Amino acid sequence: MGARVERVKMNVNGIDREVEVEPWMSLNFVLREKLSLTGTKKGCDTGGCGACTVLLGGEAVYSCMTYAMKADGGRVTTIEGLGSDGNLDLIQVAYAEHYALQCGYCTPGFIMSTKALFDANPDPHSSETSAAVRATRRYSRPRSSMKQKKRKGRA
Amino acid sequence: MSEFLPKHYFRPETASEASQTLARYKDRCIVIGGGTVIYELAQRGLLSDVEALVDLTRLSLDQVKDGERFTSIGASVSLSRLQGSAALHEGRLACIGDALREIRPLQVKNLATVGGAVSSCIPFFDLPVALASVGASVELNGPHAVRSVPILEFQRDFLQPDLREGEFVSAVLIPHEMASRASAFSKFALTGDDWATVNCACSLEIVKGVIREARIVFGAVASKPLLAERCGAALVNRRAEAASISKADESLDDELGEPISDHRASSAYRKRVAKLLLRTTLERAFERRGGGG
Ligand SMILES: Cc1cc2nc3c(=O)[nH]c(=O)nc-3n(C[C@H](O)[C@H](O)[C@H](O)COP(=O)(O)OP(=O)(O)OC[C@H]3O[C@@H](n4cnc5c(N)ncnc54)[C@H](O)[C@@H]3O)c2cc1C
Ligand code: FES
Repeated sequence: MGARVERVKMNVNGIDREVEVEPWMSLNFVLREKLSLTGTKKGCDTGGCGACTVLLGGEAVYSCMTYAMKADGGRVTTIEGLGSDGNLDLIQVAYAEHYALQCGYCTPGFIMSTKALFDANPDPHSSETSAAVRATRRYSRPRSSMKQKKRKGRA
Repeated sequence: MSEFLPKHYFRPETASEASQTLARYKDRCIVIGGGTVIYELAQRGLLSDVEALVDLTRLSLDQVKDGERFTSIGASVSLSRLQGSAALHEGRLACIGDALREIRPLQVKNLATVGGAVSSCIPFFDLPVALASVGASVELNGPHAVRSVPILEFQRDFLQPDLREGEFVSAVLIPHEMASRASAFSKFALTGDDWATVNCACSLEIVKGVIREARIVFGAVASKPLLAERCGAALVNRRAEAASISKADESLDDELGEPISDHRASSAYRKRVAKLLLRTTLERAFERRGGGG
């Protein structure tokens, strides 16, 4: 007998979606393979890199290890939900201006975890900005982008 | 590698429905909290026989409540919610706050649950060690009864919780008197976000500067958290000050036995680290004192 397929409803980037999900499927799989939202990446697939970060109910989670069933009835925000061409979010602007992209692959994850951080606290301490991008010393550019976001976000 | 392909995902509306489902599927069914350990175990091919997942989200176990004798932390409370909860405000249960701060990725803490953290029975985890130092028990909801078991008994061994057929963890209970104790937790890890090489938690009842009771627990040294009873007893009736620590230290070597030896550290290295952590943890707790200290 195959797996029972569940119809899962989630609001993704402001749009109500309904998808067929099997219990083993991750949110990352559903976003990328079923909803074609490929801005969210998969890197390590074990909670080690953060490239897959999205917001679930406004909180940052690793989509690689979030079972899609956990998002049923929830609100998901991915990088596609943040800004659009010519109308970037302040965080995206700050990342671009500080050339904080690294190679680009994990940038959506950085940006989404920055978004969660500023949504929860518009004036975070530097230890929190470091924690948001995990390996502090190596990520000086994302951190300087966050400082800019902090200044501009306040203005 | 054997695949993880559960056929069913159940979201029971009541505790008895949850127990009945677990009892019906027996070993082929597990509870899912945040799924962060399940994901890891599944990737390692360890859950290929699991046919059904039981998600407790609809049971309203996501609150921290003050009861008559205990603070009750619902099994579905996320680690980040616990970290922000009023139960930990103003220095209460400080060792638990310390332990939660040592679990770094917010993305994990937003998803991971207290029920999952204690039921995983992975000896390198931080929260169970802190909970054991404040005498926490695990509340188990079964098909016929609710029982509670001290966390050190509930965690029987590596990956082996004391869960009978149809049972699930509904809450973790902390006796109220523990809230006013001086407590602390410290961790030594090879990197900022690695699991513990060794961790240590203590809770002390201090009256007028004198220690009346001490619970000292080490993690990552054995297959489950280890309560260093003699080490704690050696502190009783001594002043809460650095000079007393050497007394606790004397029995430690013996009490730790032969700690785990693995890719993180040898047994001998772990013993040395444990000694240092004991000092750091006690000093931290002394600084904090507690009610009446
Ligand atoms: C990247 C990363 C870094 C981490 N770093 C740390 C760290 O530094 N320190 C640390 O301590 N931990 C760390 N962890 C581990 C983390 O604490 C656990 O992943 C988390 O606590 C597990 O909770 P969960 O709800 O996701 O468990 P799940 O994966 O949902 O469940 C784990 C186990 O418990 C069982 N279970 C869950 N809930 C119940 C219940 N209510 N009743 C009965 N059984 C239940 C499940 O069936 C399963 O066997 C880390 C994890 C990751 C992924
Ligand atoms: S892909 Fe690396 S944390 Fe999810």
